[in-house]
Amino acid sequence: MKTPAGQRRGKLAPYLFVAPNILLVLTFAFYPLVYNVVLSFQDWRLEGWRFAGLENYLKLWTDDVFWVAVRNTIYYTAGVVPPTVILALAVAVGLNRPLWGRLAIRSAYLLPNMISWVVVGLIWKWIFSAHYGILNAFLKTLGLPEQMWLQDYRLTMPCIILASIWANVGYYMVIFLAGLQSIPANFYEAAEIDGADGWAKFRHITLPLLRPIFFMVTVLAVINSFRAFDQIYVMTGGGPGRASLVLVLYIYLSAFEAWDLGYAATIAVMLFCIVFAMTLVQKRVFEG
Amino acid sequence: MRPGSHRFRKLTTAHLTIYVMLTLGAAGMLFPVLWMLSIALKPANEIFTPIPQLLPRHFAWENFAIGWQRSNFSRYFGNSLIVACGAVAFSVLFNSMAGFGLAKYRFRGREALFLLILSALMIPEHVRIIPLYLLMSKLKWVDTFQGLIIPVISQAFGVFLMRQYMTTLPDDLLEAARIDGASEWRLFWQVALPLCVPAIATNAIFQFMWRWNALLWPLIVTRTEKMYTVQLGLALFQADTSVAGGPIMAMSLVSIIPIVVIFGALQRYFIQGIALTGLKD
Amino acid sequence: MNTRKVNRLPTWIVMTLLVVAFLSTYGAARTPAAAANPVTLSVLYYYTTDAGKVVIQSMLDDFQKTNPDIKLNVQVATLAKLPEVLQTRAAANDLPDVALMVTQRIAPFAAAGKLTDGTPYLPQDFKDQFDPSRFVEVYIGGKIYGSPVGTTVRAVGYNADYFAQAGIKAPTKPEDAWTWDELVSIAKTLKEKTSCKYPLQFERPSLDGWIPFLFQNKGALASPDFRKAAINEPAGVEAIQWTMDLHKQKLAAPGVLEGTEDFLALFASGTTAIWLGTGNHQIPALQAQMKNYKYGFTFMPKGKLGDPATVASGGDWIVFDSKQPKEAWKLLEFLASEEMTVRWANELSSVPARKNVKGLQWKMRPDLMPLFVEQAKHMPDHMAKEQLHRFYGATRDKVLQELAAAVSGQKTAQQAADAMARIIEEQLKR
Repeated sequence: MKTPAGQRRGKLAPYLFVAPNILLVLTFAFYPLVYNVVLSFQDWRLEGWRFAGLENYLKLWTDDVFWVAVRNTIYYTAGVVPPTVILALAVAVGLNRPLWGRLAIRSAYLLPNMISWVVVGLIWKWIFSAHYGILNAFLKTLGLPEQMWLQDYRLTMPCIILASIWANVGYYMVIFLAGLQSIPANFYEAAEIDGADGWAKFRHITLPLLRPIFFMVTVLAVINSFRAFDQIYVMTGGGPGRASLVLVLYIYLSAFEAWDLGYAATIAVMLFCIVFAMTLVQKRVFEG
Repeated sequence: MRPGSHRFRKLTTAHLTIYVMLTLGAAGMLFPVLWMLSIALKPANEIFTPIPQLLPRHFAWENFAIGWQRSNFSRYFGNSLIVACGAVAFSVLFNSMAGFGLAKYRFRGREALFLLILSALMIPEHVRIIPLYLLMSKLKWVDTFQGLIIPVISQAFGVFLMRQYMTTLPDDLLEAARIDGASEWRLFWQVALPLCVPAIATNAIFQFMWRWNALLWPLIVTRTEKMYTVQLGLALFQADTSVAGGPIMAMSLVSIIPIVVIFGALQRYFIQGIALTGLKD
Repeated sequence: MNTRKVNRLPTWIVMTLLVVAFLSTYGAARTPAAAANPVTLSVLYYYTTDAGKVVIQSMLDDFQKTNPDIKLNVQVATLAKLPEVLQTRAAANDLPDVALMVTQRIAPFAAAGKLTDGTPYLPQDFKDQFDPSRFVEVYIGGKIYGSPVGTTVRAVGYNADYFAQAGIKAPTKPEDAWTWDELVSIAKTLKEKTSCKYPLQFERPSLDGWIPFLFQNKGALASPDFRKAAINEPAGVEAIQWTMDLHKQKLAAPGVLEGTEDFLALFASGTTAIWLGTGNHQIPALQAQMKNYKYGFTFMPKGKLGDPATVASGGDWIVFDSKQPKEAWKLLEFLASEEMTVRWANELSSVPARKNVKGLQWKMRPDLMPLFVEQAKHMPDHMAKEQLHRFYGATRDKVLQELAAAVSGQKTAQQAADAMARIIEEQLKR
């Protein structure tokens, strides 16, 4: 029996259920976004805030370090995403069949993704250590010249990229696996009856059906790459001499070490716009 | 392996090579973790040497003791635990409520509100940290647990998950309870929620992992060592303290134990959760 | 209705929420805002070594014991995080009452009026009790803002066993200090005759450890009138080039200035033989971790200047714009007292910033301390002024990044110097 009170309660109830989440989203996601844009037009000194108009944006335009950070972030993304996605797909395809020890193998690929980026950075910092690292030890025993790895500005980014690929592959592998498993088995059986071999099956059934997931994984991977921070902070702190300075790290350093809060907010706005634009472009390209 | 006779015939060299490559790849994935274990167990002179060996000659168990006692790591672990569990509690509760509201009711603005929550996903952390920090100082939440937990409670993933799951719950169950006079809250708390344990488990696991592993926000909102989380302690140890080298690696190892344990016991929830990301669009 | 399923409440959620709520309120109650005591002082200090933390904490504990009516709310930061902590507290208008500060960060706060003048609260002769070259760090515009603690003097550390093996004797008098050429040839000898991988290394990624070399070459960061940058003049470029060459010739260990290698481990493990720019502040760490070799200290090299230039500075206790100035200065006076100064010096192998202290008995390597006392006298005037100028604290990290870029081969010495000049001049103009 629905009493008038019960009816009113029923009408209010969904709003009440959703309220805490909406409140959180508005307070801690949308409000900061707007506030950040506001801050980008201000300048902070020890004496306090002052309105600065477009000063920060002009400063951004002529700031070499910002453009270095943009370049590094793009380099990082371009270096991480293709190998990660391709490897993830390859491993997923390989695992998409009954195998002995399948669960263990899958766990092995997924485990690096469970580890925090900080620990990923610490582990690989040791591997790449110029004086005590295992890579150089390996090279030495083979009689090859040692490398400076993280200290060699030409190798810094590739090293970080390698560590990031290692930690990322498992995650996208799982998504691909889920996608692969949603392809009905009778598609493959039908193809086998027609005499198709493994490679043909892959090209004509798997790949086309996987297209949407493939593109989605790529978009996701690109977005995530632009957010890289933890492992870079731990491995090099942006060095040597800014060779590995990426945008999120630049925001952090500008705000909390160079004491330039307004400017940091500006960089954050730019990064947001860049990622937004890139996502739109990718969606356009993939849907086209 | 399923040895049916027709599958047996298919064990070609191609399959074998793929299998070998897969296992080699898996070993390669595990090697760095093994190396971390190796360093964690070595004394300083075996670590700081030009040709380190995989197996320690002398097992330096004291690394764990040094790391734990000398550098406040016991405190950091406690903080991380509180933060992660708190975040899990809040997000599970709020996400379930929102999922329930969005799944089980028809109301004006339902799609808009859902979109609002999802679009928060598009607002990355870095564009929120500075304003959030200033907000924390106004609220006097800097260097507190509230400051660590609440501003970064993840919403979109959990809401999506719970809504998805709750849509599959039979409506007549709820109707029957309603007719029996149960309030809407009791419907949620006592009827719907207990049926969602798998989704709750998935959500809880991910929230826990994300918060346990987080660095950027704790880095900004904490001020004193007393409030550091484990990841902060690992990222900020100083080179000229006695923790550098073996003890830090030992602490790193300990830091991944909770995640590995959860991973080992509840891997399928992990898999489901990640796969769900793929189904989102 | 299926009543059986009703009983499976997710009680663990409720329990966790309760625990978290309790802890949060408990946590909130711990913060100063909710303090019930009449006077609470917020204290912030940084530490670089385990020993430092222990000593400072002991000093604060002793103050608490003798002043039970003043409660101290103590916050600790690592040196690396100190700038961030200060910045965020300043932005939140929540600076501490008393803090141990890095010298170079004091000037901006003084200029912004965030510090309290202690002259009304201190005895008349407070100023004269301290070493004037250190006291100038806290004595700005006729106002006293705090007091210096122990002095860290930078010099050159060396692996005594390697020196013996290579038959090298370290200078014991400032007149006998090495020239840059002598330093290089000693480095080459060490490389031949000992098992070190790199004979030289620099100090941690910090500009302070490198500045002496700039001055040894008669260079400077800024002009004497602080109107423009001086780093990109020939002397400065030369100093940068010399540093780069040392790395190129594999005489200096890579990774230290760039911040990617563990500088203490390099020296303590015998990978390097000479540690340029380190000072007495590393003695506690060396005692604890350099187990396989003996170490010694000697003077900085002479360079073109003809004098072993060094940086002698250290932390300072500072009183911010406090709501409880009387109690804050009481604490500061305690921390600056002779007893505390001596404790600091003894425990941390530091040179006291006070004049005429009694009871000085360095716990670790007392044989080395006279060298530091002597070396401290060789800080060029202009360098001291630069360290205290507002621009230094604001540009230090960025200038270091340019140096690291040059050393790692990404820029030429001139390019790096020009970039540094731009950074410095931007701050000088502010």
